[in-house]
Amino acid sequence: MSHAQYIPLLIFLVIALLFPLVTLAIAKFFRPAKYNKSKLSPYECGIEVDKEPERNFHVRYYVVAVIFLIFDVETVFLYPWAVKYRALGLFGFVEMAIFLIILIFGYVYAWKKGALEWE
Amino acid sequence: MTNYVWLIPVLPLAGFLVNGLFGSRMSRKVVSWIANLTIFASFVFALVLYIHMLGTPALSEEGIHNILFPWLNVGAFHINFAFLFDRISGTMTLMVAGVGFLIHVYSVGYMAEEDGYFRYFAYLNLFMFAMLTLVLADNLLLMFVGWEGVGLCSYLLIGFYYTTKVASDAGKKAFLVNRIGDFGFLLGMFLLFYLFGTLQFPQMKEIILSHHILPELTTGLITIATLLMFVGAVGKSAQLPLYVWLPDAMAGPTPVSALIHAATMVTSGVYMIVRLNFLFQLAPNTLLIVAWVGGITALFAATIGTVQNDIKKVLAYSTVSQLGYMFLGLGVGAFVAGFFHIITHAFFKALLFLGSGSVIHAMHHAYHHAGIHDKDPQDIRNMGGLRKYMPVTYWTFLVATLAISGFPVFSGFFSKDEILWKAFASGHKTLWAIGAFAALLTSFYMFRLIYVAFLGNFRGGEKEEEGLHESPRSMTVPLTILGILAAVGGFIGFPRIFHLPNILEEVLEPMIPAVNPVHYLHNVSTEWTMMGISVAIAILGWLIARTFYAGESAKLVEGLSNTFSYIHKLLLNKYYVDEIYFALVVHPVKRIGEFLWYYIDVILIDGTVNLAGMLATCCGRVITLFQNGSVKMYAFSMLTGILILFWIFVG
Amino acid sequence: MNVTVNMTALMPLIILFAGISLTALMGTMKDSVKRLAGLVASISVVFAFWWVMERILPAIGTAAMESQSGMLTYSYYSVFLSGIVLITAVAAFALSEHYLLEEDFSHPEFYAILLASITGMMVMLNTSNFVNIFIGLELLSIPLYASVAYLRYKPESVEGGLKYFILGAIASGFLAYGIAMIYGASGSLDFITIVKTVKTDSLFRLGLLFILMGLAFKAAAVPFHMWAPDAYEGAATPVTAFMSIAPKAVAIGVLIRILYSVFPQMVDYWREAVLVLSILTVIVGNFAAIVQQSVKRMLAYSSISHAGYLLMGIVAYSVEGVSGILFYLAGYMLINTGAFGVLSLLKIGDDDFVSYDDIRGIGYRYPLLGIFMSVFMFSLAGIPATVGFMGKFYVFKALIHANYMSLALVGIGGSLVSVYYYLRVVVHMYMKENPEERKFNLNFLSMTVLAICSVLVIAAGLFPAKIADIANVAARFMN
Repeated sequence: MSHAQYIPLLIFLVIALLFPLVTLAIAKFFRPAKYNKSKLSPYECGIEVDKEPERNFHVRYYVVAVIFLIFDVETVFLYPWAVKYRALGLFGFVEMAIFLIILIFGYVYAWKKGALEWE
Repeated sequence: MTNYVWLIPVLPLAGFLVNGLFGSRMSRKVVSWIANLTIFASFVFALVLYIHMLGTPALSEEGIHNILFPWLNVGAFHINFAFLFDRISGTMTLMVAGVGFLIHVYSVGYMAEEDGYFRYFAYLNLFMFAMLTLVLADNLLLMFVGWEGVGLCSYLLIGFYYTTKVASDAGKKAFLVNRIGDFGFLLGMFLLFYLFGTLQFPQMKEIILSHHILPELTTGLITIATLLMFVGAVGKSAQLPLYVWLPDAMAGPTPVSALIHAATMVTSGVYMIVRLNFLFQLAPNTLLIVAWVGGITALFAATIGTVQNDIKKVLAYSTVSQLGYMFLGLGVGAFVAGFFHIITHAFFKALLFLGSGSVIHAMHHAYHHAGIHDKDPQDIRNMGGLRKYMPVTYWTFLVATLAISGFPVFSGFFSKDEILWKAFASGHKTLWAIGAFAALLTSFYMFRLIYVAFLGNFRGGEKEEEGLHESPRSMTVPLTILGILAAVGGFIGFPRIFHLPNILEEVLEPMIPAVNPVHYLHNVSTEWTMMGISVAIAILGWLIARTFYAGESAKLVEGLSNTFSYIHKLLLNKYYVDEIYFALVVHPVKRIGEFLWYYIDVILIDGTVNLAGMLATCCGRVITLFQNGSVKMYAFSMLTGILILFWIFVG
Repeated sequence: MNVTVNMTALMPLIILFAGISLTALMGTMKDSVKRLAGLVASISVVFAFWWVMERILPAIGTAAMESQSGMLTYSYYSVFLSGIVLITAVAAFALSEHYLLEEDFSHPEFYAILLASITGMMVMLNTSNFVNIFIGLELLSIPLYASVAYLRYKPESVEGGLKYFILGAIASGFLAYGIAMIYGASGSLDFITIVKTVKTDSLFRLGLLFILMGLAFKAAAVPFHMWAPDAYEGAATPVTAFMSIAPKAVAIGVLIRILYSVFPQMVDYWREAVLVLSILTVIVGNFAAIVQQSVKRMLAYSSISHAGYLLMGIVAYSVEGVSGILFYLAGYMLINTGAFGVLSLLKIGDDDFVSYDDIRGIGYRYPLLGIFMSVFMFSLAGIPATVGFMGKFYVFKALIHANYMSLALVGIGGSLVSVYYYLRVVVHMYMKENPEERKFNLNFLSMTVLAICSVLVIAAGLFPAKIADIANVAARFMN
């Protein structure tokens, strides 16, 4: 195996690391630094905070997040499949159909269980 | 059909399972039907199989070999789970299942009012299963399984009335004494496996017949092996010096005494030697020991039997004595005669026990009727004149007495006489004399029972007398059948001089060939003479008993026992054997035990064990210290594991 | 792409998946349907079992049945282990029925979750590709975490599930890392290709190390066992029964497969590693079991120690050793199902009465239950005439034949220690008085399972030849 093929990956990694650092550094360099009390207060909206924000999110957020995640991943799988659709042929189509049916089954289950209703 | 030999033992097992599991929820009627039908089916099937076997030339030589499945395969050790239904085991099976069935029927009446009815029948069926397994086993290991199985059932049934201390003590005693015998059996089995490389009877026999083992090399070892097996037989068949458990075993229900401690289980030691006759014939020294142990036991137990007052104790000692006869027969090379005596003894001794059970049952009822609780229903001194109230019991008991005493035509006459004659004819004159004297005593103590218990006048109050009555039909019918068998059962083995066919010898001849090392004297007139002497002895015993115990001669007995008070006391206390064993074995063992207990056990062993236990507990506690519930600790433990693996793999 | 799909080979997974879908959907239906979930789940497992035994087994010869270039591979060996998993599953379902009703928390999803785990086990067992090993492991583990935490209103259940999850995620990570290293070193994920390229260089060694660790975690081998007592104790007892047998059988089975047929060249390394793990496991499992106050927790430690005996069998590195392990697993399945099954009956409402104090006098009050428990305890202790004895006998015999006398002695020593705490159960059941009268409901279905188990424990202990023969065949045809 040649290591040359990994060089683009390395470049990509370096850029990914540098990008936020550079951005932050530039912002630090250019922005005005004038602080006052209301500016430092949370949300910067002028209204006094009387207690700490709640740490616990409502459990429904998680359910929705999980469902979102599943379909998000589904899309990730669908992209490369769509690109290679012709090469995979009927076999690929059936495979993907099974995959989708499994996910749809999960969706139906979640729906029936009422996971999509907020109240 | 020949592939279903296994049904014979398995049917009672099925009965045991059904009764054992669901018996508590079924009515007594259903329980007894299940128990009786299963054993009856076994008997019928065995009978059909037996006729089929004898009628088929291919089977009658080798027997029916029913291999079920490979049992143990460990290295060179191959054992099949297999049954062998041949001439020996078939005959024995018929006897065991037949007598067993009759005793089952009898139990229905006897146990009718007892608690634990279903438990009793479940055990009884389990016993039949184990006994039939023992009989039908095709190898020593399976036989040993049956051997232990019957032992187990015997302890369970001896201790059936487990609430009484006597019963549970007797169970314990039987258990302990039998361990000695079983130890011998096991060692013998190991030695035989070492010698033959197999434990299957047909293969062992084949090896001997084809002289794979050179006699001059192995005679010593075979003698040791057969002696060890004989130790097993001594334990199970209650011979000197291990007989002590049998009289105590009478604490169990009487039908159990009849089935296990008279007819079947206790004869399994004899049966085992008959089964291995091809081995024992190679070891004349062992046979000599067998003969002497048997002869001395026969006499010894008979003397004790003469003075006992508990009806079951008399019969128990009588059983020990009769078993001695069987061993005497085997020892002089008369295997067929010994086997013959197993069968006739099963008939008349089962009958005697069942008869005594009937008597005890009646006495119990009488006391119950009169509201008496402190009298012993088994003591013959409390009985007398029972003939009037229980005729069936009396007549059948009398038949059995005639049979055991060796009165001509009755079954015991043929088998016992054959043993005595073979002993005499093979040149063991002393043994013959011992046997003959024991026969005299046998006749005496049996007629003593008849006179004291059944004849004369009842020695209880009127109120009790009113309560006396014959036992129910389920008890008297088996008595009658056994009575007929005890009377005519001897006809299967007529002596040669009668010029009548000896069925038993013909049946067993292929299995127990007459290639005995012992050469019998063949002299017709001597044989007639010896038979005459036997009959005379039996009659003499009866006459002595009559002089002492008939009518109002009780004073004579008292006088005699006063004159010979030492002997009387000696006999009454059974030669103090229990006490001697206690003093010689139990007490020293106990003392040594106490010593060891204190110095070795309490200080050393307990100390060590406690220390070990403490250490183990400490280790456990240290280990569980890490199990503190914190996931961090758990992950840390995994990290340690990885480091260990890393060290092994990379370091 | 040239992929051949063998529907016969896929069928068991499809059946199980249909079972998952059905049971999960039943969760959305009305109560009268919900009640049938256990039945549906059992039927799908039985159907899968039937398929494996009737359709797949006859098609296997000395060569395995394959589908998708070895993604699915059925051999006698893997079918034997699949059988153990599926039978355990049915027994666990049967026991759950009563347990969950008594708990009043019976949902069809419970069965769907367990079925998913079973599917994972089937995937993991019947494959010769590392991708499916990993996918199978995840499919096995994640539902198992959920099923431990199933009794979500009980803190100990959730705690056990969470701990199992966190530590399990770490272990899975290591396993994936190990697989990646092997891939990096050999350029393949397929067993048959890998075995041709195996060298003993450091990349292979590291890869095998991490794979070993990941599987040792699933088998609850010391020191990767810490999750086990908490998870076992927290889970619903039938789940404990299931997870003390099936994942262990799968982990040990797959470990043997990987070590023996993929990395035979590295035997010097893994042998020593497994040796150390097995000794640690036997010692820690047994000693920790002594000091427990709860029978359920004691059994958790006991199952750790049994993993140790199984690992010892791996050290023997012989067909005899493998067949011993397979026999051991088959027997262990019967015993542990029974032992936990007895505990699952000691329950009133949502209280479990499974401490030593609670079982005092059980033997008298519930004679049948007492006899069953005694049989299982004797068998776990390895007392002759039970299957537990024969299993230990075969394993130790293989060790002695492989010249690991001292290791066998450690094993025997461990089982001697174990006699103490197993018999303690019997002593408590029969020789102690319980001041509190409790009325347990001895469910017929559960009692039937226990009766079958105890009869088989004795029967297989007396007549081991048949199972031993099958195990021997299975051990010889691993690929």
